[in-house]
Amino acid sequence: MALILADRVKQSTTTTGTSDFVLSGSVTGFQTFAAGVGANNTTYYSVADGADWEIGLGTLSNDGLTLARTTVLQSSNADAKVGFAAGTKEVFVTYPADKAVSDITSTDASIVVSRNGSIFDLAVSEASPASTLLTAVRNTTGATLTKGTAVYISGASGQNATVSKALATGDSTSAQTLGLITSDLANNSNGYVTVIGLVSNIDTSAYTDGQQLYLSPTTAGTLTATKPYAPQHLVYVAIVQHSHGTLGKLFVKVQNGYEMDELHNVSAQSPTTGQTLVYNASNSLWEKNTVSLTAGVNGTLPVANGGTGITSLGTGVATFLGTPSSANLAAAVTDETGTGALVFANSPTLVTPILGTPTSATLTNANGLPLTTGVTGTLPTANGGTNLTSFTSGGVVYASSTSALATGSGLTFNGTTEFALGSAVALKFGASSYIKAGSTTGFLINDSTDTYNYFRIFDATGVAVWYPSGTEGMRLTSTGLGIGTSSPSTYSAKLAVVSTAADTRISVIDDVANGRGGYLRSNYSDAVILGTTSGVRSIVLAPDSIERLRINTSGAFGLNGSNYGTSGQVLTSAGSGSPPTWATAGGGSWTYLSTVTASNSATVNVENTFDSTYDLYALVAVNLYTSTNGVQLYCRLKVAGSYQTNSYSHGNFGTTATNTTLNATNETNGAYIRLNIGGGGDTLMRADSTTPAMLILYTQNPANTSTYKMVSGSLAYTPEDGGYRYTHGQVGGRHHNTVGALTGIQFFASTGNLYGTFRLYGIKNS
Amino acid sequence: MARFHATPEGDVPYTAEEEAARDAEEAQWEIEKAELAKTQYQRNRAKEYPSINDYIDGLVKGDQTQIQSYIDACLAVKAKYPKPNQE
Repeated sequence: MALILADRVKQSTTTTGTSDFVLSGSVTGFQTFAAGVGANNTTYYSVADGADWEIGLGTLSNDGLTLARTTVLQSSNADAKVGFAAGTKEVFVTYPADKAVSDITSTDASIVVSRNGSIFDLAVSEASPASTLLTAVRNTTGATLTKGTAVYISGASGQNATVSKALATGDSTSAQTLGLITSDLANNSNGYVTVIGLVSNIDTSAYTDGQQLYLSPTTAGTLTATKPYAPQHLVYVAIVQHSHGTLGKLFVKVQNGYEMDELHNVSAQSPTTGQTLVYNASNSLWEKNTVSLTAGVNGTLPVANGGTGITSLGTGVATFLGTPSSANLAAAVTDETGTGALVFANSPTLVTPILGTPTSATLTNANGLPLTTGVTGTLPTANGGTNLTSFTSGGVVYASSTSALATGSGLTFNGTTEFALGSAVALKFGASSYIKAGSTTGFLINDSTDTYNYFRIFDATGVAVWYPSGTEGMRLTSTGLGIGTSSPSTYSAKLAVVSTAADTRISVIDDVANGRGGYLRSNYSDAVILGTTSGVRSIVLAPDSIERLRINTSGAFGLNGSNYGTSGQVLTSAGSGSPPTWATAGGGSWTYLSTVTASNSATVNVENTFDSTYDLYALVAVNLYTSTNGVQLYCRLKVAGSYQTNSYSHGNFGTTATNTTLNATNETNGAYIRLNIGGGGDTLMRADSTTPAMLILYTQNPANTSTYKMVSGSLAYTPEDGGYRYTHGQVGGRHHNTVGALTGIQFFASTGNLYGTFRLYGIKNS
Repeated sequence: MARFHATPEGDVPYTAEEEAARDAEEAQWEIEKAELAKTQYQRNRAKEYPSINDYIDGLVKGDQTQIQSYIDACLAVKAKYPKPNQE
């Protein structure tokens, strides 16, 4: 729609009253409104009907045939619509005087609008441009508004805006900030406000040149160089053009701050806490709303900022997060096992399977399973169990087949000392041998037939009976063992072992009817006796089934049968290879008593075997030699318990292999008996094991305590001096100071040690 | 080396007193042996002297040569085994 003014546009109308004009017909020499103004445009019109007239702004209809009387500018009806009477009236386009433009010059002559014919011109003076924009206002505040006071439009009065002191504490006192009072304005008087431009000759000494000043949020009507911030309102008011106490200048240029919802593309009135601006593409407006996390965002919120760092969730995860149930968790997890509800560590309730009896599980590393409360069911034998749910008290569990165990009362065990078999139960050995309980008491060891080939132990009568081939063969009773009898007594059985108060004997009877046979008996006081019963019975020893020794009923000894020898004969050994024989008794003989072996021995003590047993003792030393060449050979006698060291007298003599006679030597009070022949020197002992000496010494009645003791014998040896190859002589000596029993003979060399074997023999006079 | 007695029951070590006594006896024997050495020449001479029968036989027969021969033989033995203090 546009305001169109066109020349020579006129049409007639018969419209009456105040209705829109219906244009009818054209007037010669004029164009129609449709042609000159155009449909839907506005234009200034004029209608005159005699005294009635009307000028206004009309609007042509879409079809160009009706002109609406939109605004009446002037009329004969007091500038309102005229109620035209009937008749034809002319309507034409006009240019109302109110709208006519003539030459206009602003007060300060800075702007000039001029008309030259149909040409209009707007001129701005370059010489005196307008530097200040003032607007007229009215002060109704009740007090004078001084020059430089910042004011805002607070109302209107007498077609003038009224102003009040502006304050940047709220929208109502700051949003309409207009400017600074140009000069002091008294109450209820009109004046001006400098909207743009200089306000001069005021005190601006508090500021510096060029400083931006803002509407004060603390003192109404004043300015501040401190920039206010929300919740205070920011209003740019002026810039210090000249800082001076009296001649200061402020250049006013008000720039109001805006509330967020005052922006033309923001629709966010009355927001609530937490709301923000969100752009709505459907209406191209920023609107209040909470932040949408589904629209208007991009990127991935990292974990460091509280996000997840991922761009998508796995299948089912979102569902689980929305509804965190066990089923949704299981659906979200990709490699779980089992089903049902999620289980936590403490006191879970496991439904299927119950933890105690899992349908399947591998508990390789599991431990601590309580086998008394944590399991149910019966462990089969295939898994190492018994497959039994109850037991017979004391009953032994046994393998009833290759894969099953069983128990019962047939075999029981009391846990400590006894296994028990039921009365009809037997221990079986091999194919048909049993040990079983007897019919009443005791037990049987038998074959398959109870009455045939059995050994009954401790039956009702308290005996043990062996029944070979169904006939009693042996019986053991409280009185003994009998073979071949059911009532064993001393000689009533072929073999009886019987113990009585008098004796214990084993009898072997060949004549049971007459009780004749032999026995081995102990009568508790003497010894074990091997005897025979009354009648003609001898005791015979027959090793290797050959009779060697017999004692007949007269007590005679028979060798090799009935060889009892003759009176006076004695048993004579024939060695280990032949039995002894009876022989005539002979005289006495030497008896070996003891041996002492000298091996580098300082002394040789032959002792302890001298007593009264024998009448004569002979000491024989063979392989005798000394450890040192050229020494004497001595001996001492142990008399009255000690070896005597003085009061010896001795003498010896001999010959050599070269018939040299070695003179007799003797001593009467020596410390020993010297045994080597001669006076020494050339007949000393030889330290040579290849030419040993041999010594024989005799002594008699050693146990006699009232005689001096002596020894006598001979020595054969090779002396140390090679001049005498062989020497033999008689040696002997006696101790003549102390009387007492002789209990030892001691041998030693004058220096060094001895070698040799010293044997002692004894012989009786008869 | 410690001494011991050979007995029917086996070796029996000397007591300290026995050791001391034995040492004394052996020391005594050394003295005796030294004395024997002094008269060793006598025993050596005795074993090599000619038979006294040769001298008597010379006297009976008045055989001065035989007697002198006996004397020479004895002197030769004496010369062979002189007295220690004459050497």
